[in-house]
Formats: sequence, structure tokens, C-alpha cells
Amino acid sequence: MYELSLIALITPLIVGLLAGFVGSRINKSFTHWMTTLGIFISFAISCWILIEIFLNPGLLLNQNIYEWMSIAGFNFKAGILVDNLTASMMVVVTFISLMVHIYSIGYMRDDPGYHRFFCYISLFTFAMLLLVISNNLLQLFFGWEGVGLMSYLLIGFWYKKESAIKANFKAFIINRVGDMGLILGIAVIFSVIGSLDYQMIFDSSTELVNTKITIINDYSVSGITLACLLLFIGAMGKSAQMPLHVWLPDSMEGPTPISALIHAATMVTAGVYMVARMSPLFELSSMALSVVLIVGATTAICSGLLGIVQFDIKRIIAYSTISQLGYMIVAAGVSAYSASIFHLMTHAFFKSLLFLAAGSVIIALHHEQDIRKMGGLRQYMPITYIAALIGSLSLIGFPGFAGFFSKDALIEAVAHSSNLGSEFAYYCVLIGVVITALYTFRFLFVVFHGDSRYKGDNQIKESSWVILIPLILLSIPSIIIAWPTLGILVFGDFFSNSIQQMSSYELFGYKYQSPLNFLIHAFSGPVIYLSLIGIITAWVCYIKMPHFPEKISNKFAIIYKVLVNKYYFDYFYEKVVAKNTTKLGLVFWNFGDIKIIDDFLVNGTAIRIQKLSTISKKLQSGYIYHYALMMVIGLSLFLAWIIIN
Amino acid sequence: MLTLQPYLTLAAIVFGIGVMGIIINRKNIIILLMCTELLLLAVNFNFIAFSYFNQDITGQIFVFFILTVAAAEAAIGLAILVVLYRNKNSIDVQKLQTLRE
Amino acid sequence: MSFIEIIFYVFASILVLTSLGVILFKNPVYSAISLIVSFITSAALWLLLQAEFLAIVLILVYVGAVMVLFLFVVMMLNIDDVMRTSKFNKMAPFALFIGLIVVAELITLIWFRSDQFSMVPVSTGVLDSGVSNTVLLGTTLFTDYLYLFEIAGFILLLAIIVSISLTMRRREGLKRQIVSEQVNIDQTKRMKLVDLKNERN
Repeated sequence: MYELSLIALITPLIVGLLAGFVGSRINKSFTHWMTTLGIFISFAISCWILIEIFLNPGLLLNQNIYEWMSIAGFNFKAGILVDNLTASMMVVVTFISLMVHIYSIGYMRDDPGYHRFFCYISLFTFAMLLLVISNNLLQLFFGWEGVGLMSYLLIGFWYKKESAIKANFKAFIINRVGDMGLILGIAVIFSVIGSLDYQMIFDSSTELVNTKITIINDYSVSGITLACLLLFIGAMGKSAQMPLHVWLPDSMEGPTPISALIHAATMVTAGVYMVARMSPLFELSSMALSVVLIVGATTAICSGLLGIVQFDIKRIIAYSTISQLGYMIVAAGVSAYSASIFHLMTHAFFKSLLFLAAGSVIIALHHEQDIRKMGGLRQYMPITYIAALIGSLSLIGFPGFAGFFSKDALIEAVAHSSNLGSEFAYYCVLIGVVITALYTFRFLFVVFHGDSRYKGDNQIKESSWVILIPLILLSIPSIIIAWPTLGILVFGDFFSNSIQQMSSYELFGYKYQSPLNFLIHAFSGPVIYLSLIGIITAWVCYIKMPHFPEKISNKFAIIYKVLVNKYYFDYFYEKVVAKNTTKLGLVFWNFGDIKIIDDFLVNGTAIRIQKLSTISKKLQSGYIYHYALMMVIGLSLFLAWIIIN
Repeated sequence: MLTLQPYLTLAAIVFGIGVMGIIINRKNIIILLMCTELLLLAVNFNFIAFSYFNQDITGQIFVFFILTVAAAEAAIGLAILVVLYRNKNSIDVQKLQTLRE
Repeated sequence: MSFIEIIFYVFASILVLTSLGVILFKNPVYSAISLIVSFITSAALWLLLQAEFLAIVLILVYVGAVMVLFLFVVMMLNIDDVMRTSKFNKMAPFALFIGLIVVAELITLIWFRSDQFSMVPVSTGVLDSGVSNTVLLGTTLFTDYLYLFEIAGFILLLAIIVSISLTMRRREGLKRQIVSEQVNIDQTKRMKLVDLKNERN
């Protein structure tokens, strides 16, 4: 299994590099066949590994590949950890990547950067696999940075567009802020425990608990709380929690396939994955868990509200992603890591399905993204419509679909938790259910129902099969994947050797028997009814009385303004943070660089040498007696030296 | 009997006078050459004194040679001086500045 | 104060005064004559140190030949204008100071670091052996230092050649004999047979 997992890891790298360097010389067909084949190999191996793990429970591979660096007694190794959590993530990542590869063949057909695109997404897959497959924090960080880099390159893929460049800067910088927290967290762990290996960290986690780290003079926190909080800041940056969420809507500047791949299914889930992976640590610090909980809940509800007022089709789905990530983080905050990971997996399927469907719409309307200019696409693009419908139903938690099970399990765990802040989180997620249903069906009704408002002169027709096949292939898991896996993954102990969490009865307050049982049980909870309220509201607003939303927005104009301005987060970041940082940078440049280094040190050295030489030039006066005087002075110095010695 | 030190002190004083003469001389080159002779005289003094006090004849042999060389050098120096005077028509030290920066 | 000491101090003071005179006199002839007097007094001091040969040689060679040469040159060159223009030397105090430092350091070395050499004459040495100074000098010079002696001779030869070659001037328009050309003459350059036409028709 070791060699196979290595092959699964390295293949995307190789095909990505080949596509990037060689693909443009050969032709498009070579590029897309090769990369798709490479990702398919990775996917097949991941599936095989997962099946192996299913068949042999307790199978675990934790092996170091080579020693990377050895400094002062600390050994940093590169290694692989393949356990249940890793295998599940690998399957999800490679599957979505495969779908996106196939989809991009059609979507990017006319794009001049075709080969570059495939190179980037293959390399991204490699980085993400590296992240999930690593067995120490350093390699995780390497993969973390790798996905951040590829995200930057892909958001700014159309680099001639200025908004795309701004967006990719924004993404990278905000990611960096999160990464700072991650690095500090890793540093805290390293300084206390002395190793970055997962196994060693988990074994010596009590050391972290007992260490008290002083921040300011008298105020000290336990080492574990500090480490967990810092690690969570990294997760906030990567998984777009508030206040570091502002990059994700702007990242929609990139092509739709990568919105599906990166910003729905894989990269943004790296934060959630990291929290789940570090669950033994998080379990030891209740304060960190409460922080996680509250941040996730706030994000879930606030970004959901933003999704209602957006007019760009991709931005609606982007805010939905942020909201769902909030849900996942909330689940982690109540220690229900298995529910969190399960929601991650189902979300990957239905969210990427939604993105790809949106991409299909965009392409069919020739890159039109404003939903006010769409409508009634149901009759022109039936398959896309059905795919979007399936994705939406899964998203809102319609009974029977995959999203329903994961969301419901999650909400049950929140309801049953006793962590500090869990009540607040419970109300947030419940309201979030309504809001999710509202914006999702708003999206569906406005785009696909009603009258056609498209003013373009081309005929709208269904997209080519290359685009439709991934949609169909993604719809299937969106519906059915929960039925076989719910019991094992969420309520069972599938993840027991990777995640540390309490038994399912303690966690969920529900004795699990079968998915059907769970389904019926859910009817006794508020979730289904809340989502129904949301659907009805959306129907009323956008089908029955289309002028109703406008009237409401006029009535609550202030709230509307706040929402449209995205709670003024962007305003704050731009006007306060960025402006002052730029000023600071200018000060450093003008004063520090130009004045001190250029003028004083570099030019100054030259000028001083010149002045010195002008003075010492006078020694060569041409007069013999001056030379004689110099000789005599030298003689006197020499004699003085002899006397002193 | 006299000890060695007064002799050496005397030689040192004459040497110092010769050196000062070279430095403060701005009038003419002949003084320069004469101060060189003074320096050599001081050195000869040292040699003779040491030769007497160590009862070694080598010091006087060295003085012999120094005298020879000093004479030769004085002759050549004066010959140069004459040629210099022919070219520049003056022997002012301050006019000899052609090697300046 | 023994007699030798008195002699020593008298001659020493004259020596110092005359060497000061060398550098301080404005007239170069006076400086030359001061130098001559200083040589003579130093010869006297050398006599005290039982270096008779060298003392006399000093007077004969140095004073008699070298200083006379100096005086020749001084009087040959027209240096009246130099005597009259003597601006104040700005460097003089500083140079004096440096010179005094050098002298002071030397004196310090002599008086306070004198543990390496004997202060009184070695009891009996070669200089007191009864052989006269000249004989002693000659024997060591022609045996141990013969090679150096020959080289000294060459140096003197060199001095002669240099002096002559530097200062000799060829005057224009003089008819001289160039012996080498006279000897290397060819018959065809001396005589030429010319066929003249007879003047008669």
C-alpha cells in the first residue's frame, strides 16, 4: 500500500509538470488526456486503498519516506500517514478533481491558457493530496502553502483582468494572515514537544496541557489552548471563517471549474481537515473549542445572510460555501469531528455540482454572470437544471439527499452539546437552515424559472456532453452517498483511529440504528420544517410576487445597505488596514531603503571614499621634505613601539 | 673612563639634527646633501663607539666602507645637482614639484 | 671629572653647535664651513676612541675631498637669489617637534634599555693588543673583507663614470677627432677619381 499511495501522490505532480512544460508544444488533446488519466489513476488507487481499509479494519500506514533535515538533534522527516480519514479525503479530492478535469476540457476549450490551466489544477491536486497524506505538521504546512500558491495562480488565471489580479492578491494575503497563526501554532507545539510528528504530538499532548505560556507579564495561558487557537487561526484563513472570509467571494474571478475544485470542495476544507486531524489536541482545550464553535456559528449565519442579496451567480454559491464551512467548523466545535468530516464530504459533492452547473449556465449564456439577466433556463437547459436542482435539494437538506443526513447529524450534535456557546450556535445554525433554503431556492427560481430575461443574441442551448457528464456523475453521490456511509462514518467508529471523539451516543444523544431510522427521527426535529419555510418564502418572493423583495429591501434599507456592503468588512480592510500598511511600507521604502541604504550606505560609501582619497591625495605633494617628514614620522612610531615593548 | 652612553647620545643628537635639517630645509638642495653627510657622520660615530667598547675591529671596517660610499654618493649627488641647475636654472627645493598629484 | 671627560664634553658641544649651524645658516658657504668644523671635531672624538686611522682618513678624505667638492659646487652655482628669499617655513615647528620626538626616543632607548650591551670597555681586547690601529685595520680588511674592499673600489669607479657622464657637455661646432671613425675609413671615401674634360677644344 505504501508504494501505491506514493504513486497516487506523485502522479498528479508528474502529469501537471508535463502538461505545463511540454503540453503547449504538443497539442490540447495530449494535455487533457494525460492529466485526466493521471488524476484517474490517483482516483483509482485512492478507491482501492479505501476498499482495502473497509475490508481490513484497523489497517493503517504510517511510514516515513526520507529524512528531510536534521538540525540540532531535531529530525524532520517526510512521511505518509494513510488511515481512514486520509483515505476518505483522498477519494473525495481525487474524485472532484477528476470531474473538474473532464469539465475543463469543455469549459476552457477556447482559452489561450489551456495547458497552463491543466498544469495548475493537477499541481493543485498534488498539493492537496500532500496535505492530507502527511504524517507531520511540517509536511502539512508544505501542502497548505502549496494549495495556497496554486489557488493564487488559478484565481489570477486570467491575469490580464485587473479585478482578477486584485482578487488573487487578496486571497493570498488573507491566507497569509491565517498562515501566520498556523506557523505560530506549529511553533508552540514544536517548542513544547520538540517534534512535529502527529504520533509524537498526540502521545505527548499532556505536556502541552501542563505547560503554561506567558504572553504578557502576568497573563499566561495553557500551552494547549494557545496552540489550538493559533492553529485555528490558520484554519480560519484557509476555510474562510469570519473575519478572514473576504477573499472567497472575490476568488470567483477565477474560472468556474476552479471555483468548484478549490473553493468548494478541497482547499477550503483543508482547514476543517486540519482541525479534525488535530482533534486529540482540540479535545483537551475547551476554550479553544468554544472559540471554534462561536466563530463557525457566526460565519454560518452572517455569510448566509449575504448570500440573499447577491446578484452574481457565482457569488451566491460562494457565500453558500462560506456558510457551509461555518457549519463544518461548528460541528468541530462541539467535538463532533466525524459529522464535520462527513458534511465536508457531502458538501464537496453537492457544492461542486452547483458550481459546475452554474458554469454550464455561464458558458451557455456566453459568460453572463448576473442572475438578473437570466431566467427561464429550465426549458433550454434541462439537464443542467436537474443537476442544479439535485444540488440545491442536497444543500438545503431535503430528506433523503446526502446533504440532509450530514446537516441533520451535525445539528443534532450541536443541540446535544454542552460546550460554552453551543446554545448560541444552535440558534445560529437553525436560522441558517432557513437562510440556506432561501438563498438556494432564490438562485434556482431566478435563474431557471420565470421569464427569460436574457438579452443576448445567441441561442441558448444545452452544453456539450463533456460538461454534462461531470454534472451527472456528481449528482449521483449527492443523492445516495449518505445511505451506505452514514452509519459507519458518523455514528460508528470508522474514524476512531484518526479522530478522537466521544462515543456517538454521548455526542448526538441519539442511538443510531439505520439511515431510514434517522430519517424518520429527523421529522421530529425542527430542521426539515425550517427548510420548508425557507423554500416557501423563496417561492413567494421570486415566483408569486416578484416585487416583494424590492419592497422589503426598501423598507429595511439600512439592513440592506449593510448586507450589500458585506458588513463593511471589505471597506474596513481596504481603508484602514491596507491603507496604513501601504503607508508603513512607503515609509520603509522612502526612508529605510532610499535614505539609509541607498544614500547613506551604498552611495555614501562611494562618496566618503572619494572624499577620503581627495584628502589623502595631498600626501603626494611632490616635495621631498614632505616625504622625508613622513619617513621620520614612521621612524618615530617604530621607535615608540620598540620602547613600549 | 667614559661609559658608552654619552657617545651614543651624541650620535643620536647629531642624527636628529640632520633629520630636522632635511625636513625644514626649503632653501636649497646643497643643504640637503650636507644634512645627509651629517646623518652618515652620526652613524659612523655609533659604529666607532661600539667598536671601541666591544673591542671588535669590525666596526671600524664598516666605517671605512661607509666613508667610501659616502664620498661616492656625495660626488654623484653633486653631479646631479649641477645637471639640475643647468635645466632649471635654480636649486630651490620648492620648485622641484613635478612628481605631484 | 677626568681629562678625557672634559675633552669629550668640549668637543661634543662644538660638534652639536656646528651641526646646528649647518642647518641654520642662511649662507650655504657658512653651512659648508660649519660642516667642515664638525667633521674635524668628530675626528678628534674618534681619536679618543682609539680609531686613529679613521680619524685621519676622515679629515683627509671627507674634509679634504668631499667638502672641497661641495664648496666648489656652491660657488659655481649662482645662488644669490636663494639666499635672499627665505619665507617662514610653516612646517618648521611641527618638524622640529617630530625631530625632537625621534631624538628623545633614541635617548630613551640608550639610557633605559641598555642592558644588552656593556657600558664599559671590555677589559682587554684586540684594540689594546699593542698592534697599531692601522695595522689591525689593514690585516682584517685584506683578509676577511677583501671581497668587500674590491667592491668598494668598484663603487668609486662607478662614481667617477657617473659624474662624468652626467655633467659632460658637448659644445656645438667644435671640431674634434673621432678616432674610431678615423680608423675605420674606407679607401673609396677618401679618394675619388674624377674624369675632367680637357679645357682645350
